Amino acid sequence: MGNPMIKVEHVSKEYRLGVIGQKIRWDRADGILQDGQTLPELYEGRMNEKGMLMALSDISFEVETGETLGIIGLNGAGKSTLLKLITKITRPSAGRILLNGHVASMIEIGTGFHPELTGRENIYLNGAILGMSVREIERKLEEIIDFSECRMFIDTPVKRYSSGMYLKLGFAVAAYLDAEVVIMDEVLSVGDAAFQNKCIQKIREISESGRTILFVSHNMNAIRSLCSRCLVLDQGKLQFDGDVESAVQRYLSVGLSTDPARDLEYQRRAFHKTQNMAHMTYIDLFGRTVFEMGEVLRFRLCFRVQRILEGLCLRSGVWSADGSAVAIGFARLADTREGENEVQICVDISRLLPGKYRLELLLVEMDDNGRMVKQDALRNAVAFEVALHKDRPAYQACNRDWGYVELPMSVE
Amino acid sequence: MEEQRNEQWKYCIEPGNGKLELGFGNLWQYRGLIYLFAKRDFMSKYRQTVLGPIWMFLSPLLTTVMFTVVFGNMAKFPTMDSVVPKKIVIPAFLFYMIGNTLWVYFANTVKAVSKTLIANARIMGKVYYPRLVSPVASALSNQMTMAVRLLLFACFLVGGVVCGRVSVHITWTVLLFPLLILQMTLLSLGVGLIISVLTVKYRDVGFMVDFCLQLWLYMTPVVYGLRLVPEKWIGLYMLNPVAPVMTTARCLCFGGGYFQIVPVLWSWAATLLLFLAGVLLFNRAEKNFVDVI
Repeated sequence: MGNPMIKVEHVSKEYRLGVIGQKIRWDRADGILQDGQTLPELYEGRMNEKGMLMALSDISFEVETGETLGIIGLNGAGKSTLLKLITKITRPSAGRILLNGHVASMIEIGTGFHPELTGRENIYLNGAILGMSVREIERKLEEIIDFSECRMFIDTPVKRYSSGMYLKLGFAVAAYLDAEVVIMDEVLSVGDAAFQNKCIQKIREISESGRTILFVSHNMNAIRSLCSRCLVLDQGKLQFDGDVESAVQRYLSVGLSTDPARDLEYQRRAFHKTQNMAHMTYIDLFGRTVFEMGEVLRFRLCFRVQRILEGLCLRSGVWSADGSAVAIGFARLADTREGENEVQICVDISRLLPGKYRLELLLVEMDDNGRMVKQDALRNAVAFEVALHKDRPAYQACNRDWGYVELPMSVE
Repeated sequence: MEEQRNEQWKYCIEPGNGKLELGFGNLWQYRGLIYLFAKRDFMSKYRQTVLGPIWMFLSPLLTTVMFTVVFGNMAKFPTMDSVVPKKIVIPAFLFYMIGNTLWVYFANTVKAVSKTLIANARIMGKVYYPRLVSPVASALSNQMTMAVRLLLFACFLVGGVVCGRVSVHITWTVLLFPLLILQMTLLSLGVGLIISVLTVKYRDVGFMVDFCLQLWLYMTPVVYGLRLVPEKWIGLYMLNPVAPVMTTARCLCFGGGYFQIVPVLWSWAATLLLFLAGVLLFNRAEKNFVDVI
């Protein structure tokens, strides 16, 4: 064990949805989805009992001194919230964060630049906002100006800068911070390729000087080349903490998958209930994701049930890749037994027009009154493609005008 | 063992709901930033104006002339706080000038401080620095403006004395003047901070500020002398913590006027109380205000 620098202990952060002070909120605590009442997909399954959105739930990890830790996840996974907590911009709702040094953040470069002030004046101002003393800035001023490549314009108000120059200057100031922990959120969106390389070089230098870096990026190559360890956040939960390559793979598998077989255990759920009676664990399309028109879709589905559910049904919805609902199928799953189950399902997709689709799977329980209670829901269970059949040249991929389904038609 | 391990950490970030802290320690560390913020406010105010810094002198002069004409010549408000010795002659112009300078400082600081959280929400959502830095910087930048105006006032006062148009009795007590400025600063910070905390959640409060400040102006002896207030109401009138500051300031500058120790002490007590309440409330609110704003 080296010297720990950051320790995050069971940290959660809740946000209230809706308009504050006007008592509007999405109230769906009972976990039953009613039609026409949907949360944005991203936030589904993240409401807690109080109707608060869990932006982060129960995150714990530790960072050693000198480590460069990558943090990846889709938009809205909670990366920025986590960084805001570590930098004290806002406080956690529960848990605590222990630090062994001063934290400096490069969240959104160039914030705090005043358009009327010159580049030089802004270096002072921005440096001071980020926690540098005036003397420190004076000492590094020349280096900062050199790094920013803006020497010619340094005495011009920054409102006349191009956006590239603006960002370069912002990065330059932040790059010369002296804090023990440096947080970088999407800093590599800066400038052209040459400047990006310079930035990566600089980040490496910072790292080699023994400082701790938290690095957030959607650029997997940057993550691969800079980080020694990586966290994957998904829906506010820490999904993975370990080596970079596995983390990147994990990140890429979040969302739409083109694999013919998929582990569903940890996929994001389309709703949240504390006690799920059923849970889908695995889907296998028998090695195919492309079907010709006229073929049927067969797959094997594994799921786990806590107790025998009499009226358990599988509902599968077909969605087009551009987000329209296309069709729905429904089948009763008879003879489920407690524990692991495996079924083979056949969906007749022979009438679907060529195009890309995804399959949504829901395990629902039908009670005696015919009411359906969701037990498990996967919005993106699997993706597949319908290809043109060689005997039917009339159907070119032209879904926008033609819809998605071919109706049987004949002359009488 | 767990306990021991905790001790090696330097900083700890916790939910911190409802904790009351003063947080002045951080402020000293960030003094450079306070200065830079204040300078930025002060400097950028007169950019893109033709007359530039001349406005610093022009606007108080114009207001004072207006006050003199409207309240002194037309409404004929008394420009004396109490009966003063015959040998002291104070022109209405100087009377209005000092009152106006102090009041404008007070009102502008309250306004600026009350908007500080909303105005800086974007940057505060991206970077952490002690939030108290912004309101203190606002007060400092207003102080710079006031310093210029006081200088102008001093020029007129000395000029008046030299020309024989003004006869005042200046004593060593004028050296206490900075104390009044300190009190004005603390009071305006306190009031402004309380308002700023309320505005984060309820923007309604922001709309009230201008109106309330105007009302406050008329309850303070700025555009009229204290002699306008009937004797029996003076006790109640002096509960307004700004009123004793005004009368005392004029007393110090002109060497005669209204000075009573009880209202001054009361005013200081109210000032300290409001300041403390403002800072505590502000520090409590700053921890999560980014989520609400």
